[in-house]
Amino acid sequence: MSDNDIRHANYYALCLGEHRDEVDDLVGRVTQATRGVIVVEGFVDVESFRERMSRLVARGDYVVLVIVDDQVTAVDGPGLLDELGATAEFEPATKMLLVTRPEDREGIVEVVRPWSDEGLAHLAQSLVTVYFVEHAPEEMERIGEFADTELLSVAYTETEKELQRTESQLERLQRSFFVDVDVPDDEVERRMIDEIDRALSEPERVAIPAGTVLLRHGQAVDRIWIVLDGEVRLTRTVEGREIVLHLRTAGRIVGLMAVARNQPAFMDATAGTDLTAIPLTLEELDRALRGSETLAVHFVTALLRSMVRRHQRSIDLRLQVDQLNLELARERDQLAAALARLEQAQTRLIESEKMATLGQLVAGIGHELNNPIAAIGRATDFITEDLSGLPLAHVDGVMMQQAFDEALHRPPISTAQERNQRNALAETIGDRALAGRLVSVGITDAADFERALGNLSDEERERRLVDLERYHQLGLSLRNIRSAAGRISDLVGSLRSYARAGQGLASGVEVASGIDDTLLLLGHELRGIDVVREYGETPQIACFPGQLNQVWTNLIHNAIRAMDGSGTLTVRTSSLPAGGVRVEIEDTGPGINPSHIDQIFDMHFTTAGGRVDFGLGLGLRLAKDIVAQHGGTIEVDSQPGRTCFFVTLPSEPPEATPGES
Amino acid sequence: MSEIAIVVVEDEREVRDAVVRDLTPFAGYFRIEAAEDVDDARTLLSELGGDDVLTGLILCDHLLPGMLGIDFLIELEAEPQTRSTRKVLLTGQAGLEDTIRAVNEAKLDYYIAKPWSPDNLHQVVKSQLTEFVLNSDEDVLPYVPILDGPRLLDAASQRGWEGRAT
Repeated sequence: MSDNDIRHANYYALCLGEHRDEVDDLVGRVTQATRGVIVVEGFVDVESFRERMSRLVARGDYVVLVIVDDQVTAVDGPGLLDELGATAEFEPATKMLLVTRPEDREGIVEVVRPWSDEGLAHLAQSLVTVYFVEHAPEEMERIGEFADTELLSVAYTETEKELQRTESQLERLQRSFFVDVDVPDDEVERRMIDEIDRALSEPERVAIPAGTVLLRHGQAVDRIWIVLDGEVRLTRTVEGREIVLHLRTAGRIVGLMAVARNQPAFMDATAGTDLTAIPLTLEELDRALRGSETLAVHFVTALLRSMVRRHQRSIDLRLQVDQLNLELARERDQLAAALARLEQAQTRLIESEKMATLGQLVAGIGHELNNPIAAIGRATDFITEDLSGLPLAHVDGVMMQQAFDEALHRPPISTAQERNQRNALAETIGDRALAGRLVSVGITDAADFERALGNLSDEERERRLVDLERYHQLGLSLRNIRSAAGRISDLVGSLRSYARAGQGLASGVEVASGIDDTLLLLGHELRGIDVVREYGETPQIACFPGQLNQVWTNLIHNAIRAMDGSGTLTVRTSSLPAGGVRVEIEDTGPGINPSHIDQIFDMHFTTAGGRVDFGLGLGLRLAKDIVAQHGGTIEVDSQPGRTCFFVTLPSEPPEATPGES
Repeated sequence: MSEIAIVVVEDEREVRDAVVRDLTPFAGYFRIEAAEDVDDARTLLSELGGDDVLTGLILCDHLLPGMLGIDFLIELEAEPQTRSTRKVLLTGQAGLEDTIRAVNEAKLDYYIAKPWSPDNLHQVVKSQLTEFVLNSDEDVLPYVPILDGPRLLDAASQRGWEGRAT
């Protein structure tokens, strides 16, 4: 196709006939009629005809006219023309059929034999003219020599009318919206008002005081307001608050949107300042628009501009709303985070408050218990003292005194040992029941038996044995009272020292003694567990001993629970090179799941399977906080069979005190 | 007639001494044995079995070194030798859950809270041993003075009557 761009396209007419001479005659006449502007070619072979057509169209030339003789024997002439008409590239060509009998075929110009030469020439000229008018009006001058002038003038008139219609529409459109582009707003408005004045013979101006409501949101609108002077506020009231949507952006035409859509007002319109305005009913507006050719343009322009301003204002508002929403979301997130921190702090406060209350209670009870314990202890000593010589007054005084003293002072033996002694003695003396009584009063072999009860009648022996048992029991009971009272006393002491919890900073504290108190108080949990204390030389430190007790309680309690009834709890203390103390609490439990180890110091993390432990719900988190307040560290190393918590404490806490207890 | 034993399992010496002494009234009729932990209790029970002594009653502390009293009683329930033994838990520390487990699984017969009163202890021991004697093949008459006499006599006449009937 590239050669078409530089080559001027030619116009062709092709003729197909039965005999060469007839065809040549036809070619000559058409060539003459079209003054050589159209290249006319003749064919007697339909294949050559088809080939030539395709080639011409393919190279960019135009086939203007096809003439086929229906007497061509090898070809169905009308069928061939119909076929060409149905093919897109040949469709524009005018099809002429030379016929003997006309059949008024659609899309085909029939020329009936015998035709006059003049008539044929004129027909050819007309058809070529029509082709150029329809398909190549820009090349019209090429056929100026022979063009059908009558036909051309008709076509020209039609085209001219069409053009004028289009231009007037275009002009109207341009007048409407584009002509005034360079005119300032107030000039457009002034023109609009002038036109309204002219159309409605200067309608009445109304003075409206500031604050007057022109339109009320939701109410029907029966007129619009052309504002000449002053400002209108367009507002909406949302949840009792007035939101100003438009102030300077309201424009001069108020109420038109609602009127045009026949809907209630969707904003409140209030006089922001004193106003001068022309109220117009719909009917008046309609009259004005019809009475003035240019009012519509000014009116629409003014309206468009005010709408554009309102729209921009809406976009600005929208952006402001988005900005506000963003800020609100940010503030909400900050608040949520603050709330979460407060809740954590509150939980910790409640926890430490609970501990403090419990501590006071325990300290109180400990104090109250001191008196009865002291009384029991002293009374036991007094009884022991008063009884010390009494057994000697017995007939068998020395023996009784010995039974008493032995029960009081003899180191305890195991139940199995006692049973063995009894079995052995039973073998010797042949009386199991007697052997049992003898062993329990300290007579464990035949020699002792002989010495104590030999050579006696059964009656005397029984009496003496009963007395021995009595003195033995007396000593035993005293011993047991003393040891039980001692244990209570130790417990109370530990309770009190443990419960001095949070009573502020103390100096000269032995860390190990707090650990010992804790171990003693957790004694009931320690059955079945071996406790190994590896205490090194440690400096005394300044600390909050009550709070540290909570740390030891949590760590030891966790260790015990991890071991579930059997294992070894090792507690080590050592001094730090920089001063301060290092404490290790190690258990032989199954270890902490590696996927949990990062969370164990977090709030509320427990692996205790939903079991609630009194006062220890916050366990390790609390321990970590307390150690941190002391300026120390807490770490854990865990593997199956060995879990160790390491706590370091400096020789004194940092300046900042931990607040309260 | 086989000898019948009362076994006390208690790790704290002072408490054990007191329980054993509180059982003195039964000493003329029953063999009173004490063990300070579960291991020793097992040894003791096998010794008793070897001597053909029946274990009529076990008074067991709950918090024992290395094992809960409940678990030990459950273990004994599974042993032929101690299945019919009356089982009494003596503790101040068992929780409700442990107690329920004890009743359901160990056929715990009674639960004595520390500190106990000797009267209560005597009452419990008396009624439990009466049950044991009645459920055994032993002659009940020797125990009439120390246990629940009227019940034992009723049972004795019942047995005598049955004896004649067969």
